[in-house]
Amino acid sequence: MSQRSMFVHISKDSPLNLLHPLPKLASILMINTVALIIEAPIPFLILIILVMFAFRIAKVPLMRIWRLIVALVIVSQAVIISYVFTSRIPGKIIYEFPWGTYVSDMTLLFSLSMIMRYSTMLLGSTLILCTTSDRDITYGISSLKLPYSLAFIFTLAFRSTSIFIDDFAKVRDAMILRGTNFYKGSIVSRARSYAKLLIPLIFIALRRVVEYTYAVEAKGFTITGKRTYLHRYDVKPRDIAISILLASAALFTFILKYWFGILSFPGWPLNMFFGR
Amino acid sequence: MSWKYEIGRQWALKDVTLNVEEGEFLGVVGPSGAGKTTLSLCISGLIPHMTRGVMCGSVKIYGMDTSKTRLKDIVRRVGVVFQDPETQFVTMSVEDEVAFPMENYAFPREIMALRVEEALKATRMQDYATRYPYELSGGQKQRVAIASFLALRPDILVLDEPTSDLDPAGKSEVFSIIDRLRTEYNTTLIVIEHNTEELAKYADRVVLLDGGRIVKEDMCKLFFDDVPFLQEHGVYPPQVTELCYRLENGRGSSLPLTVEQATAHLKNKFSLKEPLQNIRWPQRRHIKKEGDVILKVEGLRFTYPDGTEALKGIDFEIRKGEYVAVIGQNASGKTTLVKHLVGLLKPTHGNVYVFGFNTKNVSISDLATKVGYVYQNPDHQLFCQTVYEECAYGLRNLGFSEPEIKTKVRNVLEDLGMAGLEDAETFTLGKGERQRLAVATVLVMAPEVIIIDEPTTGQDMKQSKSIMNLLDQLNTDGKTVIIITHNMRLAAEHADRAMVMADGKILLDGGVREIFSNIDLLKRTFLTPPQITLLANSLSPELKGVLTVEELEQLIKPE
Repeated sequence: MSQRSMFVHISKDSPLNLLHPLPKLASILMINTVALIIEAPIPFLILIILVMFAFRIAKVPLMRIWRLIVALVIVSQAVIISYVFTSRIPGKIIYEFPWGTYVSDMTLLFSLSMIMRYSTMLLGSTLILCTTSDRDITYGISSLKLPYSLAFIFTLAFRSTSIFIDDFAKVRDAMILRGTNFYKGSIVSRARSYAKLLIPLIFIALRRVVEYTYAVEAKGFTITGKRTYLHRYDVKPRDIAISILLASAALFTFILKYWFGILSFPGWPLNMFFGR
Repeated sequence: MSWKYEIGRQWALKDVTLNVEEGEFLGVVGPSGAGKTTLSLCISGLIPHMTRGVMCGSVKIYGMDTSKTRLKDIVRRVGVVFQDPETQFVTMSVEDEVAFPMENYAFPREIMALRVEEALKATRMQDYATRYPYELSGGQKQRVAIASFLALRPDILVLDEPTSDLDPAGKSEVFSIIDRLRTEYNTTLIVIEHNTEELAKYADRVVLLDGGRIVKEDMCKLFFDDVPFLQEHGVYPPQVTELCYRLENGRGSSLPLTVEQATAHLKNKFSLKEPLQNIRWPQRRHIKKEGDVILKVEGLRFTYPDGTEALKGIDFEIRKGEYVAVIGQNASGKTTLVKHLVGLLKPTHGNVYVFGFNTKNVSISDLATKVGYVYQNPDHQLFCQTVYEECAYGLRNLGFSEPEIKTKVRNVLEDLGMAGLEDAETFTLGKGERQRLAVATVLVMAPEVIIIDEPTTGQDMKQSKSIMNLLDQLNTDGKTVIIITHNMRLAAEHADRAMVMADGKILLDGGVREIFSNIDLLKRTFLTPPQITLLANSLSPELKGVLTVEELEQLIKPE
C-alpha cells in the first residue's frame, strides 16, 4: 500500500513515516547547510552516495524521480557556462578568453564541485519532500509556534505545484489530441506550442485562486484565531536523537572545514595531485 | 435583493425576494446562467464579502445581515458545497479535508475524530480516508466535499449541483444523506439542481430562476405541473410527470413526481393500446454485427503508478457507425478505458487497436485525426484566446486553408448554438458555454470516432438536447459515437449499445433496451435505469423494454 507525499506515492512501510515532522524539516536544513559548507568534490561524492542510500532506506521509488535528472542537466549546463566564461581560478590554463578570463584545470574541477553541490541539495531536498506530506509540513511549522496560516500558505504553494504539473500534463495531452506535435518542427514553432500551454494554465490558476479563496473562507479559515488539529504528532526519543544527530553532522562539517580545512576546495585527496 | 458583479453588464440577480423556513428543503432550478450560483454565494455571505459588485436590498441569515456580519460567523451557520468539488480541496488527504472546517472552529480532537468517521461512512468514503483527494473520481470528490460539511453540521447547507458528477446510486445517496441532515439536525437545505427527479422526492418547495429573477415558486407537489413552462425555461421535469402531463393533455394537477406515485396514479387508470404480444418496439438501430471493426480491445489491463488496478481484463469490439454509451458507477474505469482508445494511456497488459493500429506503436497525434476526445473538464482543452481561434487550432494543425477553416468553424458553432460568439474570449465564457466550445473544438476536426466524457454535465435541458441532437446527426452520417455518462436517460434516449462497467471490468454489453431491462443487475452495479423504464416495469414487467416517455405514451392510454 502506498500513500501520497508532496511529490510521489511511497510505501507506508517507509521508516521516514515514523518520524515527527520536525526532524524531517530539520534534515532539509541540514543537507543544504552541509552542502553549502563543503567545497571539495570527493566529500560531495560521499554525501551524494549517502543520500542515494537514504532513498533506498526510505523506500522512495527511484524510478519516479528520474525527472530530476533533467533538472540536474539544466543546472549543470548553467554552472559550467558561468564558471567557464567568467572565472579566473588559478591553475594550469587550458584556454584564455579575449576579455581576460580563462579556463584552467581548477575551473573545471570547481565547476564539477558546484554541480555536485547543487545535485546534493536537489537530491537531499527531494528525498525529504518525497517522504513528507503537507500535513507534516503544516504540523512541523506549527510545532515551532509559528502561525498556522504561514504553514498553510507554504503547503498550499507546494500542493499548487503538483496540481500545476497535473494541469500541464492534461492541457499538453489535449493539444496533442488536436494535432500538435511537440517533437517536430523548428525550435520557434515548438516554443510557440509550449507558449500556448501557458494561456490555459494561467487562466486555470487564476480561476483556482478565486475558487480556493471561496473554499477556504467558506470553511471558516482565517489568518488569525484559535484552531485545533485532528492529528497529534508526539515527539519521541528517536525524533530527538535524530535531530541531535543532524545538528551534530552540520557542526562536524563546519569544524572539518574551518578548523581542519579538509572540506575546502580541492580537498583531500585531490590536493595531493594538484599540489595544494 | 439585487446583485450586479463589478465587471458584469447586467444584473445577475434582480428583485429576488425569498423566504426560507428553518428545516425547509428548498430546490432551486433554472437554465444555465440564470443566477443560481450567484444566489448560493449571496446566501453564504461570500457575496458581498469576497466579491465586488453592487448589492441592493439585503440577505439575512437568522436575522444577521450578511453584509454587516463577519464572514466567519456567517459560514459557521451556512455551509456551501460548490459545483466543482476539485476547487474546494485544501488539504492532501480525505480525512484532513473533512476535518478542516472543524479545525478552523477549534472543535475538540475527540469530536473531530468521531465526526470524520461518521461523515466518511455516511458518504461511503471510509476506505479512502488517507487518499489524496485529487486522485479520486469526480463522484468521490463530490462526496468528500459534502462530508466536510456533514461533519461541521451548519444550520443551513447550500449545495450547488451536488450530484452533477455522481452515478445514479450516488445521486440518490447524496440526496438521502442531505435529507438526513434535515431530519436529524433540522438543517435547512437549499439545493440547486438540474436533476429534478431526485429533487422532487425531497424538496418541500421549488423555485425557478431565469435571467436573475424568480419566475416560478411553488410547493414541490404543484411546481412541476406546468411541464411546457418548465421546458421553456430549460428545466427537465421528472419523466413520470411529463408522461402524466401528456396522458392527461395538460389538465392534471398535483402530477406524480416519483415512480411510486405515478404507478399508483396510473395503475387503475390505464390499459394497453394493444395486446402485449403485438407490441412492436419503436425502431432502434441494433447492435451492428457487420461493418469494419475500428476499435478493438484485447485483454486490457491497466494499473496506475500508485498501484491501483483500474482495468482488470477488458475485451470488446466497436464497429464503424455504432453509438455506444459507456456507463458505470464512479471509479469503475470508464474514463481510464476511453483514454486508452485515444492513446493517452498505454496498456499495462493486453492490446488496444484503433483502425487496425496497436496504440502501443502509434503516437497520440497520429490517432488524433481519427479519434476525437472531449474531456470531462473543458478547461483542460481550451487554450486559445477567442472562440474562433480555439476551433481553428486543430484545423490549422491538420493543414486546412483559412477559407475552409472559416466555413467549418462557422458551421460547427451554429450547430452548437454558439453562432455570434466567434470573437468572445474563451475564458470569460460560462462553464456551460466552455463545455460546448470544447465539444466544438473536437467536432470541427471531423474525426471518424467521437468520444465525449459526460457531454451534458452542467448544461440545462436546451443545451443538452442541442449537443445530443448534434451527436445523433453525426451518428446518422456514419460517425462512431461513444459517450461516457451517468445520465441513464441520455444513454437510453440516444445510444444503441451500452457497456456497463464495474470495478474495472465490463459486466454487460448489449443493446440499450436489453441492458436497461436488466434492472436487478443494474442496481447491483449502483446504476438505475431511467425513471420511465422503472415506471414501465412497475406497471407491467412486460413493459420493461421501454426507454423513453414517448415510447410509454404510445403504448398505454388512460381509461
